[in-house]
Amino acid sequence: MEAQFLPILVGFVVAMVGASIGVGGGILLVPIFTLWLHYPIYVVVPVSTVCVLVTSISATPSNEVKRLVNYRLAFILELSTVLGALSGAYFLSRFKASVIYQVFGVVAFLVAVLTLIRSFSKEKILKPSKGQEIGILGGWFTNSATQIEEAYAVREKHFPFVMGASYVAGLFAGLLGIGGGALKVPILNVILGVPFRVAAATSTFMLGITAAASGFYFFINHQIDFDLASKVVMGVFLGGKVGAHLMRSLPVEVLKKVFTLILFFLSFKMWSAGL
Amino acid sequence: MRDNEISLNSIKAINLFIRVLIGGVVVSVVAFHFGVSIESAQKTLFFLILSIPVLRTLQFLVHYLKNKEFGMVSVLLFLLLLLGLGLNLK
Repeated sequence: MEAQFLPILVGFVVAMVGASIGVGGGILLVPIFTLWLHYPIYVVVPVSTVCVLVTSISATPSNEVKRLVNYRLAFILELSTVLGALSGAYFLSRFKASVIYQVFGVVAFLVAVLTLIRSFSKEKILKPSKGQEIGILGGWFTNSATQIEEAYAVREKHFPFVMGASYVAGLFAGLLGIGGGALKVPILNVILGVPFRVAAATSTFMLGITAAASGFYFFINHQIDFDLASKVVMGVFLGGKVGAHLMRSLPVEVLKKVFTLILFFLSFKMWSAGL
Repeated sequence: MRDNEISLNSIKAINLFIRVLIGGVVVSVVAFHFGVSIESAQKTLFFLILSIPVLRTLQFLVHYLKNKEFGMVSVLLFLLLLLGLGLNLK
């Protein structure tokens, strides 16, 4: 009985925490299922990929209603991210489990460091000067502090680097079953000058397309455990909804710091599990 | 945003579709709990869930075709090709 409900409960808690602090659940789901529930990493990664997809498709409509998603930017970056995700999914069954554990440890450490830096850094928005066009990839967003609609442009000269970084983010997403939003949002904000809210919404939209690419690969190659996936998806969907409501009442900044500490711990555990 | 031509109705329709699919997942979990394994139904359900981003991409493809933005149309066609590659890679 307990074994039946544990995946639902874990999915629920992880998605609730993730949604309330604005991160995907993959980076927490994979270590919990492999280290404590003892599922093989080759089973957990495809299930986590499906969960990332469900998180993305259930969170995107509310961002779309608020007009926060920059579709052009998302679709162009997806060209390299999807390629990365397909490579990652292809390598999953070809790498030893110990290697995947170690790569996960390094990536989780990187995500923890980026989350820490982000909590101390200021938002960098590239605003077009007077009379200047917003360009093909720029857009408008409502500033949450002033409630005024503002324009932003995109630093297009850095695009080749961002395309490369997106490939790497996709590679980790396909290989490790994580969304990679924690890697993409700082890249979009710091390097391209996209506002945080737009970067987060665009990244969430992108996660769905990335996860669909690796998910199709796992589906066709019979790598998805449908019973486990159904239970976790159910928990993730409900947890995401509850987390989005709790966001307003919970001390989000404290939660983010706790999340970063947990991530440092998980990165160490995953790394040492691969030794 | 620039792409605000994508109507709220289509967003609502997709949202409803997602809820129906998740409802199907809940039914499959309950069925499994009572000893009924509906693997083929689950497979179809997950295939549909995985297809939602492809449907969204198609929706934008039509949108950009209507507006004769052939740069974005070629980006989306290439993206769909890559997603199709995921279905054929062994």
